[in-house]
Amino acid sequence: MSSIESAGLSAGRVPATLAPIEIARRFSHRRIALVSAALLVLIVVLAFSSDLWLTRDYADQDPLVRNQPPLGDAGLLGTDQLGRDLLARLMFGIRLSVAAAAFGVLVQLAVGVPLGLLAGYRGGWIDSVAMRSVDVMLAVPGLLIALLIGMNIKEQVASGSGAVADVLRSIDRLTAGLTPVFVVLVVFFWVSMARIVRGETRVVMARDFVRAARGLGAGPFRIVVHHVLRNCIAPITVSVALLIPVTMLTEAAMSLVGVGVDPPRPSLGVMIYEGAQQINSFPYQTLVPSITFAAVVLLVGFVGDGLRAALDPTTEQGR
Amino acid sequence: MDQLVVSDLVVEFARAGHRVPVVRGVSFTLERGRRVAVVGESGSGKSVTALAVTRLLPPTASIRSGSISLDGSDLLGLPERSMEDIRGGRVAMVFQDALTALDPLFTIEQQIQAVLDRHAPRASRQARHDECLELMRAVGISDPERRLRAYPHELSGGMRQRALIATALAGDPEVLIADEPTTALDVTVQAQIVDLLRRLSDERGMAVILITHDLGVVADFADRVVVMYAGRIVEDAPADELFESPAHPYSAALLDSLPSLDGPRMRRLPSIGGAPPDPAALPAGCSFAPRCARATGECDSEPVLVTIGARRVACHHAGTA
Repeated sequence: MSSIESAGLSAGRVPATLAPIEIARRFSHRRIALVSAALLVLIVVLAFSSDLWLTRDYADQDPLVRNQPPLGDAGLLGTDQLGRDLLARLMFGIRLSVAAAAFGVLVQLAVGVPLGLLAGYRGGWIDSVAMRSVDVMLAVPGLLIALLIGMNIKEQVASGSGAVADVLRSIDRLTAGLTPVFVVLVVFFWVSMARIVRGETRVVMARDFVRAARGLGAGPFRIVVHHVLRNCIAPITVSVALLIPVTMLTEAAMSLVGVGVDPPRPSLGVMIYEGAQQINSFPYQTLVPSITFAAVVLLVGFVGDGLRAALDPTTEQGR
Repeated sequence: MDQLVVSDLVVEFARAGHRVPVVRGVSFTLERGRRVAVVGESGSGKSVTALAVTRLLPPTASIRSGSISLDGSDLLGLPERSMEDIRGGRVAMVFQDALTALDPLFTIEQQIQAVLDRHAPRASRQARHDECLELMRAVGISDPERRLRAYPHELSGGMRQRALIATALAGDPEVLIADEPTTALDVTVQAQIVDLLRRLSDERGMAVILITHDLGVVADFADRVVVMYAGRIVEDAPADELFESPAHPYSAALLDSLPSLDGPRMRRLPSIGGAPPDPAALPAGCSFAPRCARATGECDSEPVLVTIGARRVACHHAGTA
């Protein structure tokens, strides 16, 4: 009976219909995940509100306070070689990285997941077309295509004319110059998710409870949304958590070669690369954004793990 | 009155480019509220017949010919949408292993309510919950309030099978098809589940088709027993008549291989020599002849199912022994 107790059955009446509340409750029992989620929220809120509490702008240069170490007179995190405040740059960098990561997640969930479900459920030619496209996308040299797309868009934004260029320009203003990054995310980031979900769908479809649900009158929509998608949550969460750092690195790589964020705007990746130029003399300049990057990735991982466990009633609660 | 009529059903599986007949011309009827047991070895076509009735055959299988009708309306011609209404609403299926037949990510209440919402929507949340409790009591689960909130893995095997039956009852079906519902359970629980099915059938006037390879569990359950071999019905008889005097040598051999309580203790259980034929390479004539002690030259031609009194038998020697 211990498994029944530990699943919280004795903890008051929880109507089974309120699954989201139940999931939130199970999540909140996992301390590491809960703390990680809180920290992530804190970081994001700080970054997006930094204009309100910072005195210096990320682009303000001050030749008098170049390369100042952290915790000194020139701000909490010191300054870079142009005398720009590292804290202000870090906050702005987090914003861009979070935006890129969020968009990458959106692409995975809004394109990759439905495509994978459709291919896995329907099979036949839809499956063949979708999966051969996945193969093609995995075979092309990603960075090269990303550069081509990036250069093309940058050129359109800079000197293009016509409706397309106008649209790109307005998107570019909204996204602080990240348009090429977003386009590349749309082109590449549905791929692995579609393949994972498609495979998982095939597995779940073959399980007895799908047949049993059919035997009691469940239609295709119910099977896919209720049973298949729900049983794919674990691989989906893991995949999202794994691809978030890849998204941020993609943005960094593109920004570094000039088809991402335009200087002087920083992203976490840009700051890491810029700081690395001076790693022998001023290691903090690359360490600060690197540690932030690692921390965000780690926190995302913990939250993802907590979510996965909270969504799976067969895992023990607690640690 | 005949509720479910299956006639001349032929089901084939596509295997390596060939069509392999797995069910070869099966006909039987099920009267309202009666209990029929379909008995046979693995591969005899009993489960495939059941899946064909609910049109849940795997994609490699297809119904070649024959007809299946429920209360006079043809099920094979129905569009898939209407078939979904029938599944669970009028004909419900219970599968073998309740652990895998229940979705591990949903509580028992959620799974019962899913079927309720599909076939018999209740107005209020309270009414739905009460109905779930009612079903849990009907299948003999104690402390239903608590079990409703449990996930499948938190219940014992017998309790899971009861819960699975509760989900099948939620749509208030007229016919329940139970495909080896006791196979994954130990012997005492098997008896309980069969008793439960019989009680539910009596209380609700629900017809039950019990598919099993174990003649032992059907003795005091079924009104009629259908014995299948190699995709055909070899004998279809009232249960007491079959147990009293099996007409087909295969039925007799099956009965013979049941352990008996009052027989000699040290007797070695007889078994049927040989193995069931490969459906892709059936022997000419009677499929059972190669394993049959009474086979004669006559058995080179395939026997037809003939009616003798209250039963139907497919054997050249039936009635002569």
